[in-house]
Amino acid sequence: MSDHILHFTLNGQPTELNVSSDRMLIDVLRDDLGLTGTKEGCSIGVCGLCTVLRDGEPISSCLVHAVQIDGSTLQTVEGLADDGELSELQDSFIRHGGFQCGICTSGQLMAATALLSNNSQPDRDEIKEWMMGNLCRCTGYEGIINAITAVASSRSEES
Amino acid sequence: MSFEYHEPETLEEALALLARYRGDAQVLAGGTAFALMVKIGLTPAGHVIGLRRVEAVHGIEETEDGLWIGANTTHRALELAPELGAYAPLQGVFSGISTVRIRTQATIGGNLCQAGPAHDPPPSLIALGAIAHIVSDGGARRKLPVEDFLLDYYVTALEENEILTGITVPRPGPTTVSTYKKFLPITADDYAVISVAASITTDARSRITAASVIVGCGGPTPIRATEVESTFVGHELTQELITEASAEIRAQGERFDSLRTPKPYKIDMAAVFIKRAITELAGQTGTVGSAA
Repeated sequence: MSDHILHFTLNGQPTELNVSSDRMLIDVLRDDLGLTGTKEGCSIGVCGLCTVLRDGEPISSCLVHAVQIDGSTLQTVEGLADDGELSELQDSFIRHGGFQCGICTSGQLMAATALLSNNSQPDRDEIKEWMMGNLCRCTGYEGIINAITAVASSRSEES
Repeated sequence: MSFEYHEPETLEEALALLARYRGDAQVLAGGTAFALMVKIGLTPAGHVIGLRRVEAVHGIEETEDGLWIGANTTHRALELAPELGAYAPLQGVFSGISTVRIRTQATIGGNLCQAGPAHDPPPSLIALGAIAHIVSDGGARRKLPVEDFLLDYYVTALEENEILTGITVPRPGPTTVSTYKKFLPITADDYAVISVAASITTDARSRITAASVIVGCGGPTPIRATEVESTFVGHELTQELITEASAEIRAQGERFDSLRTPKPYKIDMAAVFIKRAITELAGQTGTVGSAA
């Protein structure tokens, strides 16, 4: 086992953290940093509950060893709201029934945030293609797709 | 699961670490497979050498040998790389791997070195004649076809003191067309049940001068459908020939395994997807016709 001092940006804040080589990123986020918004589902990178953004792109935090994120920019669900004001996407999830129990919601929001920064005008097929790795047992997905579509539409109206 | 993690800045440093800890060291690329293996209880080596900072194993670049792809290049980067447009069907191969999260983390080098039997990239890379580039801790370099790099379930030709630095894909000629068919009846993020990569080259008289038909998920490594290939070479493509040649997979299919899917179904589907792949390529070359 080796110990490492990591330097990274977390939700906009420069962060320094001491971790041992065997720690998974999700455990460091939840246990060491107290950011329990990221959830663990399958633990094998399939379900998407643990989705966070590394350098703006979605990863399964349950599959990344914490030592691999030195120098990276991380964003978790806690970083979406701006000083207590929900992001457009979070608000849209509420309006469009994008969640019920909420366990997959953090992952859905992070994946959707990355989608809209990659492609501001995804059509429904593109949304489904991108979001297919974020499983939901409650909503049947329509509310999630509608929530993302609504944000994309409002952005196209603005431009 | 205890290991010491090292993050060298250069290939030379990585190789020096490999030499220093020889016999108790492994190389880490994206880490998806590594994480899964740790989770199921496979003990990592005492020293894990992460390559994420090593520039020499990153990058996509046209060279005189074809397209160079650094081993640590992610599937996501390859999915998006405009350079792959001239190397059909690779862009689609990489975009079809698992989910966007896996593609963001996992790499082509890690994929090849893990050597799983159902991986998406190998059949197409083999059909295109891709070459694996390897360097040892002493600095010696060697290369061999990807077809010869993959040896068995999770076994490659890499020695314990070697690193796969990347692959080169020869540029397909103007009369070569290629495709990849992934039979995916379960979920969109899954491995294929059977997969087929096919590449054909035609001459000015529409006869096949070269054919590569590679079947994935049928055994420990991708299987070259030699009897299918030899049925095509020297002939013009007709629907009758395509049907006849596709059925030639059945003899080789007797050696398919039944991992995840029963062998008889794999054999049936291999024939179906070979037929679909070649029919699609025939459409691209504009040579489909019926024998008079």
